[in-house]
Amino acid sequence: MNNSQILDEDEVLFKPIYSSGKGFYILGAALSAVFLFGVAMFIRQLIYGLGETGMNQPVTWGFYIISFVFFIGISHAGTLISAILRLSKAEWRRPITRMAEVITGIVLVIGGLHPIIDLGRPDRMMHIFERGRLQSPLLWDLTSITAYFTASTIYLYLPLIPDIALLRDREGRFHKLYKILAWGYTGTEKQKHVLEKAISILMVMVIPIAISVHTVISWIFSMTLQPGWHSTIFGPYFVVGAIFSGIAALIIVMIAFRKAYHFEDYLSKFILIISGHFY
Amino acid sequence: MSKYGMAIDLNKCNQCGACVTACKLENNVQIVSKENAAMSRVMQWMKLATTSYEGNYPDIRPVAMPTLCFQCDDPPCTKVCPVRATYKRDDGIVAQIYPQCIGCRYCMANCPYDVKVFDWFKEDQPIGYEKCYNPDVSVRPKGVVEKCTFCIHRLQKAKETAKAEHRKLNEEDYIPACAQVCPAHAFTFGDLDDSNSNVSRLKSDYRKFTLQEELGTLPKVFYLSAKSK
Repeated sequence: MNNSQILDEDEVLFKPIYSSGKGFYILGAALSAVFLFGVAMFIRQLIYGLGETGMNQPVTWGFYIISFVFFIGISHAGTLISAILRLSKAEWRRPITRMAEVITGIVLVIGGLHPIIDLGRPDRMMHIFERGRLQSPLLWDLTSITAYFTASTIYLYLPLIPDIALLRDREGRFHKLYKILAWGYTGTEKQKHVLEKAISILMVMVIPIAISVHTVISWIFSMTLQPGWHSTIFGPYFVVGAIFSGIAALIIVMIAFRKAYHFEDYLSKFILIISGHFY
Repeated sequence: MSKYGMAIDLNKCNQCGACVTACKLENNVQIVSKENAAMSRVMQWMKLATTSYEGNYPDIRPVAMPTLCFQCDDPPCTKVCPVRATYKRDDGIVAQIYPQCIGCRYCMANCPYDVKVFDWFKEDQPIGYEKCYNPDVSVRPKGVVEKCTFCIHRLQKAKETAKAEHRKLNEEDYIPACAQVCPAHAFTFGDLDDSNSNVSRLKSDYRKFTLQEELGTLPKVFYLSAKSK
């Protein structure tokens, strides 16, 4: 890939990679402050006990488990956009595939951490791995989220390789990092062919994994005897809800990026398709 | 193999609360602060659960029944524990392994009777309470789930005594604290597999009922009441 293939209009895509504006640093500092406050509160919870969260009997699962379900649910947007739309050969997905996949990767990490901070004894977390009972829905959930995170991260990385190669050729910031990550990709026909095949295999694999993830999480609830939870609708209910919330999260991210980085040329058509009036 | 069960006669129970107190002292259950009690975090393995109110204002009286872990034969809590911190023993008692528990509270979410108790805080106990601790029972740290175990430490002691004296375990050797202190003798505890024991005979009583039978948990603690449920 040589630079002559890049059109001059596309330069706006590279701008946020090479320079960060003031707004970026201010936002980063503000969010880091919130994050540090969260860490401080978690340490407080570790010292005093889970009662700090306000949970009590008989409702022993509160904010943490709800957040867990929500964040894992949002991750389905990535699969829908990149895998399912790729399978159905919808070309209008191309501008947003990357954003969707990154959202998936991030929220799976966030969601996967939530059951750990919900534990009464997080120092005994290794008990699940050493002496776990596979009959428990929590173990099924652990297995499926790990599988989904692995598959999704690889599925994010593989189509990213040609773009990282592009950045490597431009010789700017983080050049060494891009050199390692691009893995020697030079855009030859053979390499393109191999990459296409790998992406296709993953695309077919990721769809059943993704659907099973939220189904398995719903079974954490529906395998109990509690009224309102003990129902067979939970599997499809959670997956459909997840796709809805995931697309909503994706739209919010898209609107923010479009405004912040001036991507109007690339994202306007999609926004029109989805909603119609966000300018 | 023995299968321990209990019958609680609600027509004899006068809701004095001696069973609640005895259980708390026998098993080193934490005393929580007033703020936590107001937030429904009272820790009671045996509780007097109010089922209804009787009388007219201003003479209203709650009607309560002693509720403890029913030691189900098909326990929903053991099915979902991810680390096997709760399991059903051969003698029918559903045991709790405190060092194994990771505090995920899944068993609490699945128990239909709400009898599992969680250590939300580890609070300073009133002065002198530590002196009353039962040396046979462990004191739980914060963050684990605990529940009634039919005073299994008493069973272990009785078994060891019987073994040392080269005799078999008799029925009167082992009785949980709640059943022992009841002044109205409302509790009948014993071996459900032994057809001669009192509790086995009460199983066929016409007044017998168990809570939430339709869930199929097969509880081994049943109630006897001549009044309508």
